[in-house]
Amino acid sequence: MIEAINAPFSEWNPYLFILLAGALMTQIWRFAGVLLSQHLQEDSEFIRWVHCVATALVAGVIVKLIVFPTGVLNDYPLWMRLMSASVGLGVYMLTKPKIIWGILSAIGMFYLAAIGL
Amino acid sequence: MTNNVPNMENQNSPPQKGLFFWYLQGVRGLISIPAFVLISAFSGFGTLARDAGLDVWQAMTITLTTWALPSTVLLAGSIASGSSFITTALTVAFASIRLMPMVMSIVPVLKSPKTRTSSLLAASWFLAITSWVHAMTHLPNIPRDGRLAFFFGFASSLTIMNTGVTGLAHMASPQMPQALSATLVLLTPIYFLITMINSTRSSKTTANRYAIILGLIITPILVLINAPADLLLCGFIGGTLAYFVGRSKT
Repeated sequence: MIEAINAPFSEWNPYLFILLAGALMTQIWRFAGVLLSQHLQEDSEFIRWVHCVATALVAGVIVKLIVFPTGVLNDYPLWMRLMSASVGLGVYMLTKPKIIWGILSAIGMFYLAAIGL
Repeated sequence: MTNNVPNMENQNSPPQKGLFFWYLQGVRGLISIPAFVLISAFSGFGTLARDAGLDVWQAMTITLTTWALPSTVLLAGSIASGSSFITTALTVAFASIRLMPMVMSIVPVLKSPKTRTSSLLAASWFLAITSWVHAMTHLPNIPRDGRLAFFFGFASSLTIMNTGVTGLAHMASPQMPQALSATLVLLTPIYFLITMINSTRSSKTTANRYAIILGLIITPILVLINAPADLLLCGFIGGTLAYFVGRSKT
């Protein structure tokens, strides 16, 4: 049991790993939301803290994907990825609350730089 | 909660539109900018999943059963970096907690007095950021009896479509020009970054804004010092700090 939870994906049945570590860990919160929607207040302090932890976690995902990517993105230099993200953020600041122009300018910029290389 | 749902709503409504009508109205939402961005981002996930060593069926299973882009990306990322089961599960669990308050806020809008809990549980499967925003925008203009059908129409077809997109992108990625694959992969974090900042514009969410900034700063440090379970640590440290800073400012 302890061996199993400390083992990586490669030592598991892949679908069991996906269903337990991915699907179940995600679905329990949706189900809990439905069941708790009558009882728990949406703006309780606990929920606020949870929101902050989740937000910081997703910010961490963003950094890892942009700064420390694995795979195909890693073949392009860091400055290119950072420049695209900055351009996207800048355009978003000018066009908020719309998100589409920021997104399009960031990836458009990256694509142009990538085919230019 | 059910008490403040007036019953008159149903009596005054014009000739009743069928559930199928509202379902199709929901499906029509697939032709929209947010749905288009999400579909592009999931094609990036297909490529990412292939890079992580997942086969096409495993990638599609992740999209269909986990269905929330941050969770799917974290799952694939943890698998790629060889994390243990428990680290992966905790990371995904923490990234997914935010679904709970989202579900809690949509349930009162979604349900009618007749709605069964089992239907809500089934509907919640398809809830993620895009479907939440779309539903919260359109549901108030839809008669209460049609809301669940509308939500199912949009959210479930979005999930199924993206399951297909994940598979297609996974299969196409070896033939795809490298610059295009890389752009699609980059789309995911850019999409997260901008939607997340956009969701913290109101003053009620100041703490969340600090959480974004702290997360962006702490993560590279944790990665560079090779901290174990870096994302989980980043969430706990950055999130808790942000929570207290946000509280002291209000």
